[in-house]
Amino acid sequence: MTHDTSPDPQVNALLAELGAHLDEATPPSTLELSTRALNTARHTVLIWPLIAASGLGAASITALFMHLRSLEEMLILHAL
Amino acid sequence: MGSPDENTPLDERLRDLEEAAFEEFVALTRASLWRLALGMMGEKMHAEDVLQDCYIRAYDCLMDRRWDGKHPHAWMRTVVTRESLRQLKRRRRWQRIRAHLHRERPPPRAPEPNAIPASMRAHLDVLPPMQRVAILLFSLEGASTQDIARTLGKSQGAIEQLLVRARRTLRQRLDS
Repeated sequence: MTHDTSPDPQVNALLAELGAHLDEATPPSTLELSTRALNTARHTVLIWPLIAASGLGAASITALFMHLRSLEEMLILHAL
Repeated sequence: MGSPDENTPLDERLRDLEEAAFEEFVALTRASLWRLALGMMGEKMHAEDVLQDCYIRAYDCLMDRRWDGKHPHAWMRTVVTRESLRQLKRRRRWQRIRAHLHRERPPPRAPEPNAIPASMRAHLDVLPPMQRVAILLFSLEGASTQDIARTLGKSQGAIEQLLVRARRTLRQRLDS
């Protein structure tokens, strides 16, 4: 579906082509999504005892999980 | 989780944390959200990551009573849009870091099955994240500028400007 009112036919054609590709793409099954979610949970379960043993407080651990990705990026930026 | 009752509306069963309701919610929203996430991210692997994160967030929000299950499609569309935007911005930062570190182009990867063709992704990748999100929601998802403004926390005028700029960026790309 496209309701773009752009007067540029080439841009409209590009967006229509993208829409057609998206319509053709088969979504992951509910089972695939559940498996991925379960894997994430399993990793968390495995990592949790290690972090708990490190002596960090609950607030620090939560903050660490929340910002883990950002921290990775910050560390690399600092290294540059 | 309570006992399932198919006659009760989905939002109420979600609010009551019925197990079957969440499965039904995923089954109902999966295809349209997948289309949205794939359009935003351009690659199957990244789109799956976004979708997975958003369903986990939805489940957490229901459990913590931060979401009452109302308007599941609209609620999830907002969550997927914002998460895609966050990950697109993050990917841009990584691309800049990689370019700085390697000073060379990474080797081309084998095309993934079921993904958007590389030539199409190249067009999308020239769009800054906000322009990309705005034009995809408007042109492909049929969202109004008012809806997009609400989703992205911007004014309607700002969204209209983003759409104009996105079209201009795509035009320049097509001309190059």
